[in-house]
Amino acid sequence: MEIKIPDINWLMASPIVILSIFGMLTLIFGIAKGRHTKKAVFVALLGTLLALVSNFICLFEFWQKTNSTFSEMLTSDYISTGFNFIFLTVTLLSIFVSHKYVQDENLPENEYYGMMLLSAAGMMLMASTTNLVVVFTGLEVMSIALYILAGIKRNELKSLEAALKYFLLGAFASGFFLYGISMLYGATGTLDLKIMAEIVSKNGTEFPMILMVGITFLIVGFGFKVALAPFHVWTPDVYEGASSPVTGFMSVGAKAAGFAAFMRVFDVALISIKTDWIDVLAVLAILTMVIGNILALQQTNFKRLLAYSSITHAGYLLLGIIAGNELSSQAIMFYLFSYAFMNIGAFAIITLVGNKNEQFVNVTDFTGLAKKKPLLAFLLTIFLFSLAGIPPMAGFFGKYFIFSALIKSGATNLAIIGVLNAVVGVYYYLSPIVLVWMKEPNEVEINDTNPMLKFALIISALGTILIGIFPSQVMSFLFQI
Amino acid sequence: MDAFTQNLIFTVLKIAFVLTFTLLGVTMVILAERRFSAFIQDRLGPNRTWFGGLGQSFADGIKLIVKEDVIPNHVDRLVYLLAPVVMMTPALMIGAVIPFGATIPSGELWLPLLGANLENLVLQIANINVGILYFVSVTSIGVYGIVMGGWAQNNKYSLLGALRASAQMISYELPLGLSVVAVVLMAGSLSLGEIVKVQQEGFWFILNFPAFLVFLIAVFAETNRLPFDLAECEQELVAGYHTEYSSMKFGMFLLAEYANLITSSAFIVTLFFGGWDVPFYDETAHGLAGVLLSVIVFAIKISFFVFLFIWVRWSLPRFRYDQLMHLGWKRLLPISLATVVGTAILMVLFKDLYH
Amino acid sequence: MELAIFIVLAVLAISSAVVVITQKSPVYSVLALVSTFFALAGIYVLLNAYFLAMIQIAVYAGAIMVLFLFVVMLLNLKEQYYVENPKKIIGGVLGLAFVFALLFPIFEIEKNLVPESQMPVGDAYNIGIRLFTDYVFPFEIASIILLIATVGAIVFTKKHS
Repeated sequence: MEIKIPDINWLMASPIVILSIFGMLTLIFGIAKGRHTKKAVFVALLGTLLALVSNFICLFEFWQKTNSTFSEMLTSDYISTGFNFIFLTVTLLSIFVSHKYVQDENLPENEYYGMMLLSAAGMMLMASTTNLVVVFTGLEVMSIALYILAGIKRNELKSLEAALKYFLLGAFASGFFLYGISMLYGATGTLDLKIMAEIVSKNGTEFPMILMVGITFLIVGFGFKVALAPFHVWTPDVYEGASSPVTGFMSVGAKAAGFAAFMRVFDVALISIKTDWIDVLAVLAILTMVIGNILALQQTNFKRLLAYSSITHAGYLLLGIIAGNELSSQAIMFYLFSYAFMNIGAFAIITLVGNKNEQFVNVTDFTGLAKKKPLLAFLLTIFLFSLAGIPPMAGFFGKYFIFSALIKSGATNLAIIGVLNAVVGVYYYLSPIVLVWMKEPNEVEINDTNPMLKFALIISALGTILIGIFPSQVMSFLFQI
Repeated sequence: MDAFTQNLIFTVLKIAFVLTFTLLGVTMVILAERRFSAFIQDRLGPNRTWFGGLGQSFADGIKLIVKEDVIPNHVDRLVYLLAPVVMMTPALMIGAVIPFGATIPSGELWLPLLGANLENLVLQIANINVGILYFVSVTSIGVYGIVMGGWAQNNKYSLLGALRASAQMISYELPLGLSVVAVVLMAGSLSLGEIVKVQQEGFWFILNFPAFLVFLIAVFAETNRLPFDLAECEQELVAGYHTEYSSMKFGMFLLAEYANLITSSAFIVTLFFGGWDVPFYDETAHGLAGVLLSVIVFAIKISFFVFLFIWVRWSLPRFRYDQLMHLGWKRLLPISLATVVGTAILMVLFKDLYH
Repeated sequence: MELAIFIVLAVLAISSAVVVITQKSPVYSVLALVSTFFALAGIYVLLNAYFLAMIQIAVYAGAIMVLFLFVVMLLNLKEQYYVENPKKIIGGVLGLAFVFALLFPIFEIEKNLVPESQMPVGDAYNIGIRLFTDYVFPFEIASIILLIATVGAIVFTKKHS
């Protein structure tokens, strides 16, 4: 019996492989020398940095054309390397933010960082493949690790509740997703998105109903993972219950991974029948933006506020999927890249102010922060401005690119709705800022002896500002335009 | 007569043969167990009914059938009634894939109802290409009878027995499956017919002694025989899962236990001792007589392992529950994993041994 | 003949699946689920997927459901723990809508985009070859999923140090 082993390009797989191996190493270090060696964080950092380096090499090696390896299971192109940058940045920043938090709360370090790295590896898998099987396995790697991270503070009921909610609903959504994949396979006979695109476009408007049902299921699955309304109900509870650094990690990472796969499925494989799914997605996008905004208006807990804000952001990103042109895929990546900095920055500040056991995470706890810690207040302002989309922050250009891509594709009405929503959003981002700057300080004490978190804050702030000042340079770096 | 009818007739005949063999075997094994245990304990055992006690099991069977069938009020009726059936079915199903004799070459059968175009007759009910997996899956569902019975009786002891049984089955299924993988690696096939053929042409798979050992221990656990009979455990759980069964329902539990004993022995023989293979003899050389010899040799091999089962039961004390789990997860599982890896390496190094 | 067997198995699968969700006793639900798995395994056999059928029984019916049963019996839930939930109706309506969404494609299955190809026999050999060549990458990822799940179980159940 002759077995043909497929050609393997290890360089292409290297970012994922390195990250997974270091994720496992982080776990193994837990047994090596007792529980209090405190080395896990450095192993995790090293792994992330190495993965970042190898991703750079991949970028320069493969950016011109699409390459695949492992019999077309793994793809390297500008989308995959770009998204990998996002995931690795998120992981790096989250590790910095987590470091002291994990020690203070006495969380199991090795498991924490190990899960973080493996989850990031899952996200990268979702972005760097054109095969639905790998998308699904990547989704599971990412999600299961995130369920664990959400509940890792298992002494606390809230954290456990978050994990359980996330797990039950997430497993349900994964079921939908898998069912959708199987229907797409049934309709087209392939799991490879590129081949699927050919088959679907060849048949023009004549396609079986099963394809439509499959697409619907995929939308449900994706919608859950990236928190689109009406599949968003888990988001605030999970974001509130999970530890702040974890929330920052998963709000950006899971969203980016979900949109990476979303983009590949809808803007590559199913683009030729765009007219059939565009209405559904448009309705979902409007619903998501409106619901996210309206519910965010009445939040008093800062983490819940950011949870609803992240729902709204998912709505904007969905507009990019709807646009479905070359510009929009770059816009989505740009948006997520800037979102990584500003959102993790915001959650870093919440981690810092929240103090032990996250006792100060209400918006009112931030009252008068400017009088106590002016720099911290300034950074928070930057992040919130950027989230609101006020120029010259990075968030503004993310929205700008998305809307211009949308207008280019002809959906001007949607773009107008998007802009209106962005304007409404400014209100609830500004109200904490007003509290921070205009009110007298309260007695909440802020313990900011946390060098690694500060470092992460500085990086995030620099990222938010620099991307906002040099958007076109960042674009050309990411996409080698 | 067309081929389909022929096949049908022969399949029915084979099924009848296997069932008869198993059920008659059960009565013999029960008697053997009682006599042998008596011998071990320096007693006489049942020696009166018919010729020196041969009829004892039949007499017991008649007793069980005509006894009053009591169904306690507090039981969950549906599950209570279903449990003995669920227990019995897998025990008898396993026999379907065991090859019990050499293939009868065409032209050797003199039965008058046969047409001229008779093909070779394989002495195996169904030679499916995933025979081993069939064995693993059917043994694994055998636990449902115990669990359902234990739960339906609605009393603490039985429930405890059922819980123990389910945990034990899960724990020992892994080493069982993994040791079977070693055999599959050596045979290069999942089909039991093929496995016997490979052994017939080369060495018996007892060569892979660690796999055999793990398999043997796991089979002991899967059949719930002492030292693994924690589900029953008279002293603590007053017979565990069948405490409140009476009459033939109890009889079916008993029957299933011994049927499992026989089929498990048959599997040990098939996987590690060449099945029906008669050593140093060409079964096809003397026509029907050779085939008959192979069937008899197979039966003798089975009886040896049945004997081993009985011997162990009356010689060893019962495990404690934590010891059972310890053995299963911390000893057998690593050993069986190592066996799989080791077998794979050796198979690559000595390619010519079997293929 | 094949159709008759299929209908029997399908009816068994669906009716036991209905029992799973309508039964109030969790043990009955689990047992009904086991019978669903058996019916599904039968359907796999009809599709020539023997290997899958056996794995279905060994893994789902033989291992996973036994654990389910173990936990359910250990908790020994009584029926009064179940509260009537008015949201049930909404769930029912959504479920029916779901069923219809799935029924639609069945009636136009002949409109499929792919030509009906030769159905390969799903034995261990074919599956093994595919798994270790074309699908080796997702196959390896599956091991990471299992690792993560194991670590997760330990994280949530380990005693505090």
